[in-house]
Amino acid sequence: MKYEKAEKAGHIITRVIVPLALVVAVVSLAFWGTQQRALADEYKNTATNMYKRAFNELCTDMNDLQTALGKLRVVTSPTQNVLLLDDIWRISGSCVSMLSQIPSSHLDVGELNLFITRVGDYAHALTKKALAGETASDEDRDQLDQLYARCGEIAKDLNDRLSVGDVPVAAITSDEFLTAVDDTYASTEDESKFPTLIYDGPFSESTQKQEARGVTGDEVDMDKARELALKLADIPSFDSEGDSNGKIPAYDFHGTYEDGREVDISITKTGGLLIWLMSSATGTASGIPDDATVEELKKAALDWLSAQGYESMKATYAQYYAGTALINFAYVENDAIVYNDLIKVWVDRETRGIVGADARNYLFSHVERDIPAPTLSKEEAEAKVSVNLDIESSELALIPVTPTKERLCYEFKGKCDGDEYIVYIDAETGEEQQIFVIINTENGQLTL
Amino acid sequence: MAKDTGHAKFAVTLALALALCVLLQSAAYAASVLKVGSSGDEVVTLQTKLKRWGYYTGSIDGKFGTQTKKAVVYFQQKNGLVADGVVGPATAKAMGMALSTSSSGSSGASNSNSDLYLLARCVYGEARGEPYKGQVAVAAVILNRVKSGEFPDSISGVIYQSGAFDAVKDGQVNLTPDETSIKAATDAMNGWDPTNGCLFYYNPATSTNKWMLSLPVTLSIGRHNFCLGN
Repeated sequence: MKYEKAEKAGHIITRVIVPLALVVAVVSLAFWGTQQRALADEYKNTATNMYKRAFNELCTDMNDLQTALGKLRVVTSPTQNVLLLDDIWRISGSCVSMLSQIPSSHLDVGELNLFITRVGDYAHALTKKALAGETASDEDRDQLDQLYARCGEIAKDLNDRLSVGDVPVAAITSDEFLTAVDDTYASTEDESKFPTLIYDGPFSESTQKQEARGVTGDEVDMDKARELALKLADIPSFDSEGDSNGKIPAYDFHGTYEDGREVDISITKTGGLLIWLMSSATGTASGIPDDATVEELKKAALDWLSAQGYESMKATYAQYYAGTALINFAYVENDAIVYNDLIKVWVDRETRGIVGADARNYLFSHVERDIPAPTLSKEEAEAKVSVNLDIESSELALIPVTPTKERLCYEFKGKCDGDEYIVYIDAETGEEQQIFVIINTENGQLTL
Repeated sequence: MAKDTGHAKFAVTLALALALCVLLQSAAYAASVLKVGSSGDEVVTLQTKLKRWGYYTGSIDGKFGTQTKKAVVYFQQKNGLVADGVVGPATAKAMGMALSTSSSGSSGASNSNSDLYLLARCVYGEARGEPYKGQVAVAAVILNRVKSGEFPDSISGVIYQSGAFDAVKDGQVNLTPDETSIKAATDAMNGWDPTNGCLFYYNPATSTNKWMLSLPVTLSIGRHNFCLGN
């Protein structure tokens, strides 16, 4: 009897409980799976909708861009001209933003991105020209005609894709949104897919291919560069060395100090000039130090600059982080601060030693300049500044207005409602050239 | 019968595995603590503080060992905290330290500059474990792209561009960056560009992108090759 009972219990387990447990497991798995699937579908729909929205807006923007370029061909009034140019600049910005939101990689849309950026950049350059009283040249009109035609083709192509539903729904897992089928907008060796634009703006071809103007002198070999680098890094020997052919061809060295800190240094192949030196501080202090310390740190950096042959430098801005004081220095000539000729120096806050320097900006922009004397007096220029600004100090400065043009300006620093501003007044024409807002942070400080 | 028991075992194991998955997922979002076995910059900060206040006599090596634990217990006893030798939110607060959390929230000072923090996250996701110069180089490539007309015109646009960074695709960009990657991002923002203008980089050991592999290499740092592009 007992045995029978046990057998019966065994039967209950194998015939009822186990199958039941399995059924429950399978059902709950199926339920869980369905839910996961629904969730995945929801995510996919959301993502696809965002892509589709971006693509739709891109199409609209391209149409608008073409329309605005078309109007530009028949406009006669200077005001309408500027308004249209401004519109083109704005639309191209929106285009680029939408282009970055569709699931296409740089390889597929890089060239298109560059073209649209340049259209906007060019329109902005033309706005500046128009506002300065210059009329568009024949060359400009020619270029605008080409842009109108090409933008029309692109707008048509994108709209065709949209209308035949060529916006792949499977876009989430692939980055073959715009191409794979063809290479209409892909990067290629030659840029013949888009018209070449000649103008003076930050994204123009001439600017992007700009040479380092301040790199002059004789070619130096590795041995000579190493000798210079050892002295600059203040180290007996390096662990490794190499060379690189970036925008400024250079020799690179890496070393380790006795206390374990590392140092990297790069010397130009032409002229044996320091491009940058980078190490770290011995301490970890941050925050703005007291005035006396600021002066000491500034002096340490200035002494070092002068030892490297950089005379006539002025501290303009300082930041304090990771145990260092990073001080920006600009070149001064004829009492005018040349902001393009910038060298950054990192000073160790504990040892006052130099633990970093970056002369790249200086090497790119420094040339012999012929800075004119200001035509306006300081008082005449000051009269052009808004009455809302409480002027605290003023200087002469040479500031960049386009990548290749600099203008001599009076720089007025002052306050309005507690906020600090810098206003630049052209020392020749009296025009307001630039306005900056100073944003003070817990670690940064303007030292002018 | 043996077969049936096997099925039952399988079902139970399956259920357990499912439950475990759920548990692991929720654990991943809890705030981090420092305890025996922890290491890194936060431990360095902890040891530095304990040493300065005289609780700790060992070396500042960034590794949370028994000696560090003893010092933490000592500190907790002295300050009326639960003396468990684990640095949780309460102990961290008493010490004036900010502990990172493993969810994607940002910590303290980095809030003030979201671009810098995003840049640091991308550097951490893409290049942690690389030499410091290599980490700055990755940040510099991102910033060079922002300045180039071929790429989106903002840091977030460049980082989240489709197919641009593996760390974005697999979600590693959401990890909390360490001090080193934040410093690397800061140095790059301040203008240091070890690549001298490069727009691309790849890991020659893992990359299968033919176009990328065909680019002339400008320089190599750590595991990455850097290229100017065409």
